[in-house]
Amino acid sequence: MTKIARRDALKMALAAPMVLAAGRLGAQTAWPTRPVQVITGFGPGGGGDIATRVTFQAVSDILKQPMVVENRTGGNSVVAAQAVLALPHDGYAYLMNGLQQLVTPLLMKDIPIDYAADFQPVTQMVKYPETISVAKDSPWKTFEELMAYAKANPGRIRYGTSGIGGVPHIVAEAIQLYGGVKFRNISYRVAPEIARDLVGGQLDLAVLNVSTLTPMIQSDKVRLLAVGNDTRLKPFPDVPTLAELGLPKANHADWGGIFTATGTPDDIIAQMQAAVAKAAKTPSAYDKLAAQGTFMVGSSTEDFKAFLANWKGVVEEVVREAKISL
Amino acid sequence: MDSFVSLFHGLFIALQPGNVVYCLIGTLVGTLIGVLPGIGPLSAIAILLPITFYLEPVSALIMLAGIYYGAQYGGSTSAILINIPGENSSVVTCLDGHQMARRGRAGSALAVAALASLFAGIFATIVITLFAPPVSRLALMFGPAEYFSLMVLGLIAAIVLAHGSVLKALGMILLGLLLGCVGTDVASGSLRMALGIPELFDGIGFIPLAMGLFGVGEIIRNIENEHHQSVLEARVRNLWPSAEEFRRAWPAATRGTLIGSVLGILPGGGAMLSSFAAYTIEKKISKEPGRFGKGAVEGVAAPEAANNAGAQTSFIPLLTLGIPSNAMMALMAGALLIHGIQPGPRVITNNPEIFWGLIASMLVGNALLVVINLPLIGIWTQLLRVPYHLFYPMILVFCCIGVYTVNSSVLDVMLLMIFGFFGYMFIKWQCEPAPLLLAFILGPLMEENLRRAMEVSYGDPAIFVTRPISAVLLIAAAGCLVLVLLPAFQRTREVAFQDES
Repeated sequence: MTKIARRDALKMALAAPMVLAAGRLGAQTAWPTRPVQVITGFGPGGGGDIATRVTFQAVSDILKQPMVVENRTGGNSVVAAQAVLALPHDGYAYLMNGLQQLVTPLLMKDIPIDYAADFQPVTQMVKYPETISVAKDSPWKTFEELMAYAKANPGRIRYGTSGIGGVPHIVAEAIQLYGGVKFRNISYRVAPEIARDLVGGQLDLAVLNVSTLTPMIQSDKVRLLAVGNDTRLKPFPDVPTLAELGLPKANHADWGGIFTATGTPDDIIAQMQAAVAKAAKTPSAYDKLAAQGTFMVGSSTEDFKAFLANWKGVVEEVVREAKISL
Repeated sequence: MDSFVSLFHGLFIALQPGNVVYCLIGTLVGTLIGVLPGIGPLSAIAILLPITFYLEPVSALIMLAGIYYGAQYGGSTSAILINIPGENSSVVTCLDGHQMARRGRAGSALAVAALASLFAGIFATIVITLFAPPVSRLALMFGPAEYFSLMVLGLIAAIVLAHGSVLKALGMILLGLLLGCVGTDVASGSLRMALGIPELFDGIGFIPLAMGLFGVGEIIRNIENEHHQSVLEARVRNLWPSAEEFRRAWPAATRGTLIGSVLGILPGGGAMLSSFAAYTIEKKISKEPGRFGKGAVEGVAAPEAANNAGAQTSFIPLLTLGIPSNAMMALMAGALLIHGIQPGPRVITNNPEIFWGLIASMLVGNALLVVINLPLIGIWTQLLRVPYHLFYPMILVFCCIGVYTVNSSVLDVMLLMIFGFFGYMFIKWQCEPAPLLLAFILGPLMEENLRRAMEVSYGDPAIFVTRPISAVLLIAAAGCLVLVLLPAFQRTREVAFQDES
């Protein structure tokens, strides 16, 4: 099975230059003339799925064609990625993925596809700031107090993560790596359970996307110590970023981006990028997602490539130094 | 009393003509997908989620919730008539419900299921109205240690539940645990027994397993026994339960409702555990446990009441804490989020019309379901008259479509066939598939929570006995185990099961 998929991928890669050349001949291909498929490995109803649906609802209004969002969960996004590669590389199939795009090939051996060679980036769709939080009745009032305790008591601070190699996990590892502390990592299948156990006193610390934590913030059951984002967050002006706390290399927000199969015509990629960028400036869509802590981005393809290159460096360093392995 | 004033306000919202229509659509769709084998509420709601974009948030939620509890009704229909559990909570309904159908009591089994569900639905709505905030605290009190102990209790209950040989039941549980191991290990991320197939990285799907073991296996068996064509032979006599059946069913339904209301709140296997627990308890307290598995009406009433009550109380942690207790609730959370509503404690204060409208719509929906379903019972049971050489290929096709739609995965269809073959072999070997399924679901949860509890306690196993809820659950589990092993009980158990053969 693996072999066939690889051979297919190879054929596709060989065919790519021809398709590219064909794409360059016409000044601007008329696109889209039929519905476009957007496949994501995030399950229906989750943060990644909702962000994709809201964004592509707006994109569909802009491009005047239905954008069909499909969830193909499983295998750390391998199943969704394979589904996109199995479709024609004609600009009608896209993959919405997060850090798994970079981490899966790094951590998993024997996957049937080559993420770096088989896909090309289109645009960063959204970002989700991270939160570092403790329960309301926790003894630590500030991030510094927490770190001081952690330094004196290695391995005593229990924190929860869902998804090895996800951004929250990488942020937590980076805090330990660059902050010179050691936490105890407790793995969960889904993120809301982490919020539950933090409030229930089973965990001391949680690194979660802000949207996952919002219900607990609203019911005043948690205290934010820091956020992972380039700026402080509007609803929490007193909570510093990790960079302000002296950990610039741990200061990351989670993200979701749009990718498409290698060989997709450049001018179609440019049109899709422009549509997502325009959707990100649609107030109704932006506000809907911003209300739950997800921020639409719509960066240029060049910026997204640079962003990915930077992330690749970050992940490789953290994975190597923190000795994350499977 | 304030809660009831709000509930009346909610009833006003739920009874607006538009919302009644959406409630009706939801419950109809739910009943239909529940009846069709394989197409469960999860896939239906996942497919319908984008459509709710265009609806008012209240209407969207009312419709989605209608699909959810409507499917619980419909699921019991296929479990009773053709021995195929549409979803995990109707697995136990197969045991006695299908036996009732074979004895010509299909109509009364369906009626008992519908009425028990109605009663449970109304009761659970009242529970939500009165206790939503305090009850949600129960979910917070359950940490990894409590979940582990609950799963242990569940697995031991599975042994008690099993027919025939304890050794075979243990074997099936072990097999279920092994199958549950397939996939990515949550703690380390490493793959177990996935054979390099990406579709297996997240484990074997419940639906191909359950439908294969119960449904396809049963169909193959029926092909073999020409004189034993259960579907064709079963003649439907009285549609209405007899007085005797009513007398036996109502206390069972009441107990099932109470169990379901409590366990439905708990995340993970809560809803499924509640129908299993309800069944086990009925069998335990019954004066004639030998009747179970042979068409005991209590064995239909209790789990059906429990799963419907559980389906509704599982909204409590979502609406009050923002914690979805199962995959269905995660989808409901998604539906809320799409409309810009953050599930959690603010829903009651910021969007009272949504909270109370949704809850009141459950009363409306349950009433609608009985109105829809009681007259339909006649039609459903007519299905049994369809010649079996036409009926079974149809079921098989629906099974395949249903399994495929869940993940658009061909592998799942192949798994269905493989498990179907094993389902047939298990019938031949007289091994019960129910304990296997329960172990398959509980195993991974149990392992995760065991490891998590040990991490949380820094490696001290005392956490399981020093935390009071966990200790009580473990004592109950030990009690069950002693009962099974006691010679006196063993003898009665053997006698009970001898009647069956």
